[in-house]
Amino acid sequence: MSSGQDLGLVEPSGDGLEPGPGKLTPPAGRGADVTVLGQFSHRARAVLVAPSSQQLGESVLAVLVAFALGAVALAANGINPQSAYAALVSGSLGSAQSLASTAVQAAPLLVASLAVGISFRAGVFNIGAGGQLGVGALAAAVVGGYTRLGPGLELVAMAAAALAAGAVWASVAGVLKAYTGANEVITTLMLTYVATNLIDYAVTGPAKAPGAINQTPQLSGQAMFPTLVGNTQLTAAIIVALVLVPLVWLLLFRTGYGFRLRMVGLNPDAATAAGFSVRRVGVSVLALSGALAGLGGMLEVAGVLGSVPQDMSLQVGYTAIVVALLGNNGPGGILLASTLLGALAAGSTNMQSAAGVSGPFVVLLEAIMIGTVVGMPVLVRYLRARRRTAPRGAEAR
Amino acid sequence: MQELQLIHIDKFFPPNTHACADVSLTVRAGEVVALLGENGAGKTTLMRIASGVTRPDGGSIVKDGERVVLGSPRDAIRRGIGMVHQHFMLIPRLSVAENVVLGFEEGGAVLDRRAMARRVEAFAAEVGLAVAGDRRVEDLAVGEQQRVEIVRALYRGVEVLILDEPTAVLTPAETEGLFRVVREMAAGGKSVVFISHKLHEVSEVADRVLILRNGRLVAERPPSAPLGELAALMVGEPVEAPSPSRRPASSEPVLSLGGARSRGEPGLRDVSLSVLSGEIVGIAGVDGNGQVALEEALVGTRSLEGGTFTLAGERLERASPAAIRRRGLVRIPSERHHDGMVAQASVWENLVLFDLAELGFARHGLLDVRAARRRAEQLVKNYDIRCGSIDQKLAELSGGNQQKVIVARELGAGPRVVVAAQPTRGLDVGATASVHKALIELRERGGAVLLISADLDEICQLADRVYVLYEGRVSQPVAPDDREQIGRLMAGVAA
Ligand SMILES: Nc1ncnc2c1ncn2[C@@H]1O[C@H](COP(=O)(O)OP(=O)(O)OP(=O)(O)O)[C@@H](O)[C@H]1O
Ligand SMILES: [Mg+2]
Repeated sequence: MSSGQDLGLVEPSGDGLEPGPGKLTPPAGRGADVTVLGQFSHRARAVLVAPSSQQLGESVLAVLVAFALGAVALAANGINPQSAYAALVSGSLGSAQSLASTAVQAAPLLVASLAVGISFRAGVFNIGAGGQLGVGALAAAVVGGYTRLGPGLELVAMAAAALAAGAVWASVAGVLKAYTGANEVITTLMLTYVATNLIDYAVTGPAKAPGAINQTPQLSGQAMFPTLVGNTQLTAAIIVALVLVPLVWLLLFRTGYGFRLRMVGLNPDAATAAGFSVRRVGVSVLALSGALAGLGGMLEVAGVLGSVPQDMSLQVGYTAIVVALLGNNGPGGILLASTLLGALAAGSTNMQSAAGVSGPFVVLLEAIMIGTVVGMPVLVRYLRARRRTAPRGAEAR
Repeated sequence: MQELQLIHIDKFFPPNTHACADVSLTVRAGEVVALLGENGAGKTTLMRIASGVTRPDGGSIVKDGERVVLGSPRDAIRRGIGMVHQHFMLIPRLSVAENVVLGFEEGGAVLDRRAMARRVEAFAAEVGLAVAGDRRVEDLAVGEQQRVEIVRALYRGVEVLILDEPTAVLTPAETEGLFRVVREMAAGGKSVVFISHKLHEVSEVADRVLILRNGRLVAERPPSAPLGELAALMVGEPVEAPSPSRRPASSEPVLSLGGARSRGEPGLRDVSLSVLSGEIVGIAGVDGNGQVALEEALVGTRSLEGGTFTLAGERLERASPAAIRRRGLVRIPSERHHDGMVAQASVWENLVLFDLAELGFARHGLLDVRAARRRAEQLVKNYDIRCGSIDQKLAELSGGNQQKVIVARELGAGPRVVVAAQPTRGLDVGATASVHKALIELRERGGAVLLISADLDEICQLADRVYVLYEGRVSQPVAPDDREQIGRLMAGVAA
């Protein structure tokens, strides 16, 4: 996450999305690129927008490195890593109950990560999926809490509200970027804080449920997804999340829009010359990404929570960045990575109670993973050089 | 007495590219060896192996009688072998002196920039190259950047200097300067390996010519060998240059600029020109005199500040790049890496980059991947693009084959007007001939071609009329055979 922020902050002034007409081009060694990553090497762009084809291996390695370093950290704190990890595994995969809770954790994460991945693919760095998810959840909770539309229709209306709310929220950043050049890394992040305050305001004021607790009204059965496996929190929300995986794949790889989006992400200048509008892709992808994240919020409310609490955690928006990077910004990779991180989240409770490992340990693992995955090309190059071999990834002439 | 030997070098790129197959060669002290070969023959790969960038699958490298293993370019430099790549490896934001020195001399904690700059300049002057030590590399023209690359290598004590297509981006005067340095190096006992597609340069500067074909070393010739023979050895069959049948063009202008002005360094300054249907118009001039501005004005990526731009009778000063393209104007860009291709995307995606909607690959928003790939396969065949498969990343293709991908996409789109900027830069003789043929065919069919090229031979051979671009202004049209007048205009000495 911090890498994302740094990327944004070093850019002196956003020069908008589109090089477009009027852009001045210095004669040699053109300096100014158009996106955040323009300030960075093509290698940095390659890592964040479309990591190398050896990505799967790198991601697996990143996960292993995280667990290994995590074990060291545990041991240093006098905790037996083996028993801690055993607790982690049994808490996430050990029983039907824990498997279900892995899936419950993974569902909103999966959707938020798909949202993040789509924007990364376009070279647009939406790091505020948490905020979009929050307003999506709030919109869904309000619609579900104050309307009676009957079974089925109720959920559809809630989803629509969540999609719209997320899209609008992210579009604020999109429009700012398109018309003032404001860097989306900063605006989406800031909008997440605004979302937190909006939720706070809503659940203590206009959308407060009757009673002492600050939250939106408890959703009725019609406004909740049906439970899939008795005695667990596993609901049909997971099905919606899973259906989105192939849909996003189709969007990215089988539509003209997805093609434009990917090409713009990989080389905005060539895409502009090809007649694609970088600005239009930038604005629309933020809306789309926000809508998806908003839907993730609806899945969480209507799948698990039943209402939006005052202290609703929007952390999932940041975890989604880890997932998207681990998953190569592709739907398949994101499915795998979100399952893994969902399992971590599910197992961490058990790890806490059974092995005395505090909750934030999982955040440490995530941090190591993101560091490793982003730093991997450098690391690999270093290791190869040590073994007196040259990198294979850098063969581009 | 240094000597570099490559022995039985082998390099295979899965699934099916044998880039170097059992290549053995020796580079002796004080000699200039030219390496010739078609696009994709394996020249760059072989030299990347010699300079420690790429590991060979088999074979060995012997330097001064000692077998060496080169794990990195650093290793190679330590052994006295350095390479100046087709794409420069300088850090744009750093100064010339910093680029030369950094990563080599550790120095104290505090760098004395001024002293460093002077030291680098003094060194450069000694080897006969002029560089300004404290200028930022990003502010330099390509030719200057290349000098910096060479100074950088020599500063590190390189004895065998490998130059990969060094003249592709140079002006004739800069090329002359480069050759002088190369000859001086050789006279001083150093060796140079020189990769080029320009045969006359090869015979001018080399002591020995080696020819690669499909990854194999197929022949060695003295530089006095007839150019036709060298070309035939490269391609495996005789190459014939297309002969344009000049026939009168119609009188109907397809493309015209009237008093066009744009920003830039230099931008367009009151440029008026026209291209008739059935005509190839050449824009001659030394690179950096507004060629990029002209190119970008015509495709709509740089707006005009004044003047008119008319395409087939329609005024398009304010049109978007997409709108201009839809009206049948395509471009082969001079800065192909920048705005011609998406290096990290596949070959097939690059081949259909512009034509999704026009060619019906995106109906109702859905991409017809099968049709798009079929089209790509066909272009690969028609334009003889050498690649393992169309799913390969474009970045993995050889430099010339990347250019062929762009040419294929643009000319394959069935255009009415082509803006061809340095269209054959980096192409081998065979590919150059086929691009020329395609441009001539387009003209015969009534198309219009604006050929922007730094290669005067290319312009004189193809164009029906020539304008000379000098400091953002164009001359009156000149006949292509009036070379003397063109030369004067290029130097800015004629009225
Ligand atoms: N990293 C890579 N992965 C796959 N194939 C590669 C890679 N690098 C080079 N090749 C292939 O090896 C062959 C030789 O490439 P090379 O760049 O050496 O050609 P070249 O002789 O320099 O051509 P050009 O004149 O076009 O520069 C090409 O077919 C190219 O596609
Ligand atoms: Mg090459």
